[in-house]
Amino acid sequence: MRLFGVALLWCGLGGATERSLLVSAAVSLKEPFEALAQRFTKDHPEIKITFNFAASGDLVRQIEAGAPVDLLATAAAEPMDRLERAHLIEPASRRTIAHNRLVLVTPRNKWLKWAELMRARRVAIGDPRTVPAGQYALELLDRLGLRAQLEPRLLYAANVRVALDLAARGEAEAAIVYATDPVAASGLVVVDRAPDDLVVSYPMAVVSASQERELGRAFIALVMGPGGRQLLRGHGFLLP
Amino acid sequence: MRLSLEVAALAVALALVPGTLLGYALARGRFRGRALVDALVLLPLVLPPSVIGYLLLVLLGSGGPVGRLTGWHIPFTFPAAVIAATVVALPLFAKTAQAALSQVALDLEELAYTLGMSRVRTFWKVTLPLAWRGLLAATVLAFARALGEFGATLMFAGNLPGRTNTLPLEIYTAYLTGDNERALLLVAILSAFSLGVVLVANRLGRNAL
Repeated sequence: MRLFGVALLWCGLGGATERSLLVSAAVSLKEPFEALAQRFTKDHPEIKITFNFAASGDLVRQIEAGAPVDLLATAAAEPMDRLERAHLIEPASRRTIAHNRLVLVTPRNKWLKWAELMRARRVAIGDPRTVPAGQYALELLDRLGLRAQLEPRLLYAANVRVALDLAARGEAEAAIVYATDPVAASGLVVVDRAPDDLVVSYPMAVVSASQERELGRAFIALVMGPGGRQLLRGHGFLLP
Repeated sequence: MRLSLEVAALAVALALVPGTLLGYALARGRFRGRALVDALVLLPLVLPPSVIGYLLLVLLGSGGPVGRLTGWHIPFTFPAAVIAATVVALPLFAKTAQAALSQVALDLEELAYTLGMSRVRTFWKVTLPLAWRGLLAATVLAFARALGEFGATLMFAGNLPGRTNTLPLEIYTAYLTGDNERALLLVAILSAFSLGVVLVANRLGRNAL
């Protein structure tokens, strides 16, 4: 009981002296955002940044349900638009921070092009119900005229990194992921790219209910600044 | 709903024989390592379903030992959903069966032996008929557990429309996609069904004593 009291006191003190920022971000932003957080805490050592990486659809749902999130970055405009219409994000803080592109990846020994996708027994994509990468992938398959044929062979993953992992594990012969995802580190190779006009956009905004809106805007400024741009480009993102 | 019932029914069918044998071994057996077997049987009940799902994916996956040996592609298929449900239903069945089988008086089994019945024949003609209510309760409980399986199924069998999207996964999807009416409806169905199952199991279990 006494221990419990001490723990409670400790938590209370901790909360009073340490400010924190909870950033919900599309999982494809993981590597550059983690690097950015290190820079941010160098300038603001009193601030602790915590990330919540998941599929954009899941992140938006959490904010709609009242999750205490300060900042949101999604891999598509549509979920952010939905929050903006519901006044759950600050429209003035909204910026497009990066662009991305879809690629087709396979294990080294199974080289396929888009046109040969029908040779794959299974193709992993993000679950289009919640994962923007999966929605883009379906749009792309639609354009290629492959969607109807390929649909029974699609494996829906909880987010784009799981789709990558399914190909790495050999559960799928191919996966449709982002050009920026750690393809090589997963032992896979990029065998084809999506056409240039199918561009993925990442909007970022401060959540209206956040207690740290000023800090949130500072983080977005860092992302949009020269350091952030350099980092994003270094990870293969295209800049607006 | 139909998919869920199929998965749960197949899982229970698969758990029936090994579960009964395990239950009998644990109720009557005095063998080395009994405590270890008992613990291993309980393990899937205690482990987080995500651990089970991950282990299944690693062991039975296309790149895992079983996948490489047989060339089978099990994960993200209907059989994967059945396997996940079986793994979590088996311990519940075995433990309930163990309790039911140990209720059968040892005297009766020994009497059968002295009358010249073999162990196997005694099991069929004496032990099983005496424990049938408890075994039925075990079946019902295992069915309910299999029907409610979520975590391991999500990881090992995915959430593929029409193939592995059992009721618990459908509730999850309905929630994630903002279809709260559907989520609520499915929650109501599953809750009512599970309540009925537990009531039946309790009744069977009580009368068995």
